[in-house]
Amino acid sequence: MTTDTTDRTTGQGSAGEADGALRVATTGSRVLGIASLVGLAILLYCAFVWTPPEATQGDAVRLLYLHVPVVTAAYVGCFVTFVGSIFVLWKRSVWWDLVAASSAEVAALFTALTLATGMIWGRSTWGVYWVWDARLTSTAMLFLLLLGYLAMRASSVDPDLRARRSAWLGVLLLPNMVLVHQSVEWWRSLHQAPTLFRDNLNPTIDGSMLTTLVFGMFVFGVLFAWLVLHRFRVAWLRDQAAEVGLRQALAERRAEARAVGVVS
Amino acid sequence: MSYAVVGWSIALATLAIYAIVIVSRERRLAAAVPATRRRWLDAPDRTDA
Repeated sequence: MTTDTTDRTTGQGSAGEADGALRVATTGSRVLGIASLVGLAILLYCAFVWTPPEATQGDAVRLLYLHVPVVTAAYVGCFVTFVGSIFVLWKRSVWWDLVAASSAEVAALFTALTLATGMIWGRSTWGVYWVWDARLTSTAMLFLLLLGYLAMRASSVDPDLRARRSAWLGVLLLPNMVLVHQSVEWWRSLHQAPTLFRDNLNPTIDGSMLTTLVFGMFVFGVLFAWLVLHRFRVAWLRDQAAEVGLRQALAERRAEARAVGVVS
Repeated sequence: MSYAVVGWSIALATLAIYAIVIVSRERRLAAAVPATRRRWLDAPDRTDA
């Protein structure tokens, strides 16, 4: 249920729309938003106060309580885009097209943050911001693929054609994700091997560090859901606004034609 | 510690800016669309997922 001040019977705005905008939060999005904010505050406390410095990395480990959850959210975003793309190609679903596009944009943001936080961590631990390591390079490729997807979305071709073309790019995200995750196993890499998602599912950390890392992944999962929800609404509203504009233009042309017909 | 603070600051600031931009766009667009078409669940001619 929306909480705006619009008259639902007429569809026209009331005093609440006087500034050209209105409140669009729903109960679900409000719960997700508040949970994200509270979760981030707790995560900051855990990352900077509760957990001790790591034996070899020192305080640089505090960056990993951000880096790992961010990359996990980016993976989730890529996977949602992949699933959405499959449904676009299979069912020609408009809903999945909007979900895939929304998820891809948020995934691109999280992938950019993954690269940025990884570079800062690398500078403090390895002494350099960037090396052409398999993990770093494959992550950069994933980011470029997401940018390509978003560029395709921004193209001004027929919406159906645009949806199908971008869906083919979306399908490529899954093999690219596998490549990123497995890169530290398949090639000799400066990047450390998996800490949590190992073959035997036996994490190499424990105690407060493990709790903070897992909690961070949960918090960023909630934040990802909140962002995708709002980004989906933007995509939906943009389509609706375009349709409303088109209908208005058609109605005006018909009215003009009728007026000319009456005069002649 | 300074690297960790810088990394966290950049990430949280970026996410906050993106969230503000998205919600602002959503509000602007919602004002331009009739109430019955604002949400996918409420749209009369919505396509199924």
